[in-house]
Amino acid sequence: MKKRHLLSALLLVCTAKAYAGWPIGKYRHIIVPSLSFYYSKNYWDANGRKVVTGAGNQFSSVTAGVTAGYGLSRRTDLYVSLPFTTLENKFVGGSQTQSGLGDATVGLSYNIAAFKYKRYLSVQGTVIAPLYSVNQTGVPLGYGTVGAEGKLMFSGAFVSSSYFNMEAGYRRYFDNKGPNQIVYDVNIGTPLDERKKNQLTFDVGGVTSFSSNKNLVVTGNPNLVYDGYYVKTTASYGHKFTNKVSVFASAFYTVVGRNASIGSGGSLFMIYKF
Amino acid sequence: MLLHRVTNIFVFAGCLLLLLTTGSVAFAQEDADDPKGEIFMEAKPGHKNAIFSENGSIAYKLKVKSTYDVRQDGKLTYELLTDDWKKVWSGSTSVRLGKNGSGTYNVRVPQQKPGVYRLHFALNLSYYDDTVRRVAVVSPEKIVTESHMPGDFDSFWAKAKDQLGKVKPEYTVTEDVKQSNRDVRVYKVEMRSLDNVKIRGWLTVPTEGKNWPVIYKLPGYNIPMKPETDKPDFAVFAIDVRGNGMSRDIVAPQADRYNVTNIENRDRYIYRGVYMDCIRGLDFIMSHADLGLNTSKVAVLGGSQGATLAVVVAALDKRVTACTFELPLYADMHDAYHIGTSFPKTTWPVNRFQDYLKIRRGSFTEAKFLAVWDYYDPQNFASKISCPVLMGVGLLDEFCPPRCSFGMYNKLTTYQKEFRVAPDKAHEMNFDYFMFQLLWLKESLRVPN
Repeated sequence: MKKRHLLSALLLVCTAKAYAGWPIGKYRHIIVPSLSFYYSKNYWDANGRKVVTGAGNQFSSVTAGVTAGYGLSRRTDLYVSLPFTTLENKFVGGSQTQSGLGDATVGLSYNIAAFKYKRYLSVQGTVIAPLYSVNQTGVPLGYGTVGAEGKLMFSGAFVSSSYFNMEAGYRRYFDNKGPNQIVYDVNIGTPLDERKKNQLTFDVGGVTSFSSNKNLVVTGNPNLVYDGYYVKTTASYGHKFTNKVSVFASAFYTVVGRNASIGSGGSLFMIYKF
Repeated sequence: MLLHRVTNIFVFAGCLLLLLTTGSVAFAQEDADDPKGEIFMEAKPGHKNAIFSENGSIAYKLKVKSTYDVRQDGKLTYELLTDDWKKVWSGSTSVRLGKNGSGTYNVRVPQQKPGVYRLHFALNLSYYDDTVRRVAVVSPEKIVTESHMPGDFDSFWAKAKDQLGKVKPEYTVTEDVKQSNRDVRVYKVEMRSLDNVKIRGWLTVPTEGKNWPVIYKLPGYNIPMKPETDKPDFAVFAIDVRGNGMSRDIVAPQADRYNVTNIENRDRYIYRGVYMDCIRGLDFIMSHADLGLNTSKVAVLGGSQGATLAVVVAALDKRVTACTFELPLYADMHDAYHIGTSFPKTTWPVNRFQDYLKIRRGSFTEAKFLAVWDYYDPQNFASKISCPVLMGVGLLDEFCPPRCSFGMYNKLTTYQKEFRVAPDKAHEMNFDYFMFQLLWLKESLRVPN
């Protein structure tokens, strides 16, 4: 795959949808192990036009991650996530692979208001710390620099038994090239049966990234977007085995973008609450 | 507040109904030639939930909206009274409402000492009279009620528990397949309690999973219990104490005489058996982990009489993990009796006690009545609770005076306690409270949200 402007598909975002915005609750815990797959071949250029790459170019990654949350108080939750990623970038004449720990995150969310205890308005601050180093020859596992993110979340009961989560935030990587990013997401979920054992969720989200780095030839990792944007849609199916254990499977596809890869993938994750 | 020109009878009936439901009273002129219209009055407290500080004033904003097609002049009078109807302060302001006009009036009452106060806003206009009644609380955490705990209180209840311990429970648990469904298993439970009285209850256990935290639900006054099938995160045991619902084999008083059954003898008063029935119910839960119950996570819950029973169980038995109740009936019986009789018409349940005292005039006095109740007053149990507590109070409650509820609350010495109020509710709580209570139960019993 030609090394072009790239897509940030933080696959763990998929897992976050299952609980984002709702306080975990004082003394309660949540653990979300996940396994994600990402694939891209083509991309959108600087004008948003689709570019089809030649045969033999493709990028794929598999990420195993775990996110853990702990309810520090009724309003404050602590989140920690840790991904392990294996990347493979194939291009005509060769390929590159890289494996290792990715960007760890540590975040605190605070519930500003609970509207009749049915809808919640929360803020979350997250620090992003790379657990890898970037060298000139390898495929980087991430931006390779410390970042921070702040976001506002509104979530809760929607019509009938359905629920929603909306969030928007700003993410900054502390490097002279940034990037600085606006992140946003809207998610709606609905149970498929009276017992709420099965549920379906739909999600639209994206990243708009700003950077002084206008060079489209970047790193070989299409999970990284510097000066561009993308919007992706996700559909998830979840099954609740008990009131503590649920398993979700999701699939996503990028629908529009600029200086970003056209990617698709899926993830499987379990939510264990205790 | 809706006001139509109606006859005196209908106005009186409407006033009575409003008095019973919202504490607001409306009076209308009856002249058929009077102009038609409505007046809407909204009294909004300056502090959320009408809870004020003793260091500040009591502020209310009164919004008045008229739909009359004529101008009206008159006066807005506001009075502050104690909860036993003693006038503390009053003021007034002139009101002029134009055709379809509206007005906003700020009422600021000078700072008051901790307590519960009645606020009456009376609007007297050319064609309209209306009174809106509200209740404000000043520094509820500092409300102190007198304790009347008998010297042998602890030994009295220790003896009762000893007697209960000698009664073989003879538990029987039978699944009610007609009420069970794919989500929850329903069991009818029978057991023996004090004086070998047979009592019954409903146990519901979710079908999936195991080791369910338990909500132990205690009954309100003559409220038959039903299986709780809508709590997917908990097992629920709802007990019918003696004389209630399914437990009326031997003890079966009339509903309006329930709380005066054997009241003249502290050792035979119905609530002695009732309180022990509740302990026996807890014994049942603790001995049936095999039904999928987590016996290390048991919360007692109740409203009104059930609140009293929850307090008693949490105080007498340390196996309780958490205690939540609302509208605690009988709390601080001395003050409750006094407040109940201070109303223009004595409120329930004090009126029932009064009726009994009238019948037994001469042989059973108010003093004797209160002396018996000192053994049963939930406020005398409060200091013995050591688990987390959540209390709900309806500020317009006439059955359970808020002063008495807060007085009992302030006698709690447990490490974690909190309360919520419903400022516009009488003997009931609002939706918000029950949503919060559910979250509180999940927190206390460590159930995932």
